[in-house]
Amino acid sequence: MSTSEWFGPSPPPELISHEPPPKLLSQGAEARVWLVDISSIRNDDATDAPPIKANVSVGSGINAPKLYSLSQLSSVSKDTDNNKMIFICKERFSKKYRHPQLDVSLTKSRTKAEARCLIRCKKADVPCPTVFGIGQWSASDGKVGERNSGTTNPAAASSSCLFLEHINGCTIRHYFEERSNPATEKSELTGEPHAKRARCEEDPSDSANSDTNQAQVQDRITTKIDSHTLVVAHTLGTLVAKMHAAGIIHGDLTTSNIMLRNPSWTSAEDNDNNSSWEPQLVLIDFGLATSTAPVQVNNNNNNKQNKQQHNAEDKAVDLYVLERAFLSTHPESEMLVEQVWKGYQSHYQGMDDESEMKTEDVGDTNSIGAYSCVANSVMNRLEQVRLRGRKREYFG
Amino acid sequence: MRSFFNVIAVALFVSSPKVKFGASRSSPYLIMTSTDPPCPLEPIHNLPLPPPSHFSHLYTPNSSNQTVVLGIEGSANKVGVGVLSYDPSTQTYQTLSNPRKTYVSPVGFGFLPKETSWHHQAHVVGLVRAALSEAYPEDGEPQRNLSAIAFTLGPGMGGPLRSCAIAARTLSLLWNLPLIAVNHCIAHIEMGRVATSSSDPVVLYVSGGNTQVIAYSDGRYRIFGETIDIAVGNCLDRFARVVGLSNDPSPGYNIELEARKHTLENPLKFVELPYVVKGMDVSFSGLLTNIEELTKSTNFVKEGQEKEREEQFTVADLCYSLQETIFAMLVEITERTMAHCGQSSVLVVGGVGCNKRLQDMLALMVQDRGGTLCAMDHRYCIDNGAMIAQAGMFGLQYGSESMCLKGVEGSECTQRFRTDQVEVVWRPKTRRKHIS
Repeated sequence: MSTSEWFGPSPPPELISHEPPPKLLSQGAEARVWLVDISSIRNDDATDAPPIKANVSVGSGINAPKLYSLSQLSSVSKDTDNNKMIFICKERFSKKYRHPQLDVSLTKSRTKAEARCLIRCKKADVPCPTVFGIGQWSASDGKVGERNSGTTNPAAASSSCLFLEHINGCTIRHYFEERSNPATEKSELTGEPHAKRARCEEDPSDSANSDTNQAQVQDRITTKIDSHTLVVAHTLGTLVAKMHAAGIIHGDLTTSNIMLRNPSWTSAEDNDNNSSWEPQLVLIDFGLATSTAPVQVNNNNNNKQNKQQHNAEDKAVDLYVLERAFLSTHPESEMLVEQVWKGYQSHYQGMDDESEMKTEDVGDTNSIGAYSCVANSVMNRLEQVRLRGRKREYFG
Repeated sequence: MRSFFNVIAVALFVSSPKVKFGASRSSPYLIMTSTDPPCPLEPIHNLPLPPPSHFSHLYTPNSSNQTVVLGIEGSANKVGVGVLSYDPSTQTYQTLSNPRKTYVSPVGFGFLPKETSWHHQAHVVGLVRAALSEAYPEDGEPQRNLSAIAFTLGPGMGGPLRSCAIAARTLSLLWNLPLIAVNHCIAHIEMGRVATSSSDPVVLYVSGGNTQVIAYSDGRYRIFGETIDIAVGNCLDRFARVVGLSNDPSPGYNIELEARKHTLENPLKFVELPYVVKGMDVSFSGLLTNIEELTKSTNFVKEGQEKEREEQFTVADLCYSLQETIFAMLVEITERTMAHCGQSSVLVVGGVGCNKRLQDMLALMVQDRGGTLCAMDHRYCIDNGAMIAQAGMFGLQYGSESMCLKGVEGSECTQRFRTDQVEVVWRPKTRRKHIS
């Protein structure tokens, strides 16, 4: 990936003089993710640490998040992350290719939207990273992109940062791939904390893998389906349903955007103790998320229009993105996708059961609950969305 | 040889009985055609792809041991014929000739299937003749050098596709050559890979009918992102129609020329337009409606008038803003796919792919990721016959069962033919490893 002229990106201006230097975890399409170690500013009197400027007011109805300075962060993340004192800085950097006006408005609005959605998810008890703060820089006070190249257009240089909780674990994409890879030795992976988008080069097994890949070029590597991967898929479905019920549309549900806190590398057949293993999934990267009204159905009056008070279209498109991400990155993973849908519907059924308990048995037990209707309408819409792609042979 | 061509000409006109010679002459549409300059005869340094010998039963190399394929393309408003040869001694593919004609519709109109079919029917015979005589100028019977005929099976407009398929079938029967059915999108990708010597790029395919971000994985070209409504070229063409830009040589090129009026000294106004990226997908229809409404607003300054107020905008401003917005969307989904697949090189193909501004934006994005951009000029970016021949050549050399037809059976065109439907037998079946 690196060429002789390319020095890699420079950290955001807020952290440019930070010691130890922030580590670049990944450079996504839109943002760079930095891992910042703040163990060095352990002292409570570290007042010289620059406070994180909050330029964003979070919408009405939601309390503004508590924002911390770098020194305060050390005490916050101590509680959350086993004394590790690290947090994530998601930097939306300026895109040189974009028109400056477009660039600034997109960067700003996306950072704001992401913070809002994360906070709303947190409130709805959907596992996602905690937001610690937001910082924004313009060209005048920042040095963004200085080291990248000499030809940076100063007008286009602006970036904004989101300070987030660091999630220990690996992406489920990495998890599925490693589980499916017969060459991977379990011992090399157990207990190894993986970065947000766990990189293959960090794995000691990688050089061995590429050699075996060369040898078995004609072999199809299929996605492993066992009780563990199935339970991950099922839990993922319930999680997405929970998020949708809270009115959040993720917008970019891929297997790279879902983290697994406690990956279990042993197979279910090897260890009976693992049969009760519950995956702890965390949704990350709400960069394209939008929020709508939460799903609310009133069981007391069984009017049919209540079932239409949610946006099935957005939810179905969200699921369609997930389905395509699954099938394009994980060959022959149809079983897993099936489990995701089951999990999705089971969550809404669970909501029905809960609401029926609250309202002390309304209506006859044979009818489908109002929340299940929501799930059904989303799944029906998904059918329509699938047929929508251009130039499909079974269409038109 | 002349008698052969007369037979095809008759076959074509019999197939569309409504077209008479007199009628076609008087039609204003058939006169309006632009011809590209002849393609220079330069060798393409290709990727090392030695063909396995056990598929040689499918075709016979010519007397000089070369495999030569004639490709016929006509899925949209361009009709092109290319002759491509493979020389096993140097392991290179070479475009021997690649003539093309473009049907240009009048200002304010798009190209309609009927007129476009007439145009293709009128020109395909001449193009085959021109391509063969350019490839083998000394040879009295140049068709003897050919090993196979490749044609576009789809996707595209039905009428134009069928017109060219009839020509291909007729030639196949006349000269007793095997037919190869080629997917138009795959042809674009393969031509780009060979012409730019990029082995495994992320492909941005942008044209009048297609907008896709494609990466190879496990025997197929997988579509990672695409438009959910109209194609990017379609959006540009329709906007050009609304503001009355000429369709000659192409509406997109005239928009590019308008947008190039933007300089550092005299910057054009950037009008905000809807920016619609949904995950890996893009949408242009709402944007098009929005910009069409803008041309009806009081702030729109018509051609020849002067801007009086700050908030006013001209055609050039709109062209510039349209390009900036839609290309930013395209670059963004391309970058997403690169990040997703861990790829660092990008190949841009299709008619919109020769837009300089899009190439510049892609180059800036790729530079930031430490990768390379593979771009081509209009000869290979825009639909052409050589690309059909190139993909057909791969199908022939690697014995693709779906592409190599038995006789004329299975040569019915299809308007819907997904990129990921084709099994890419000429590339190894490896799953992409997530490395960056």
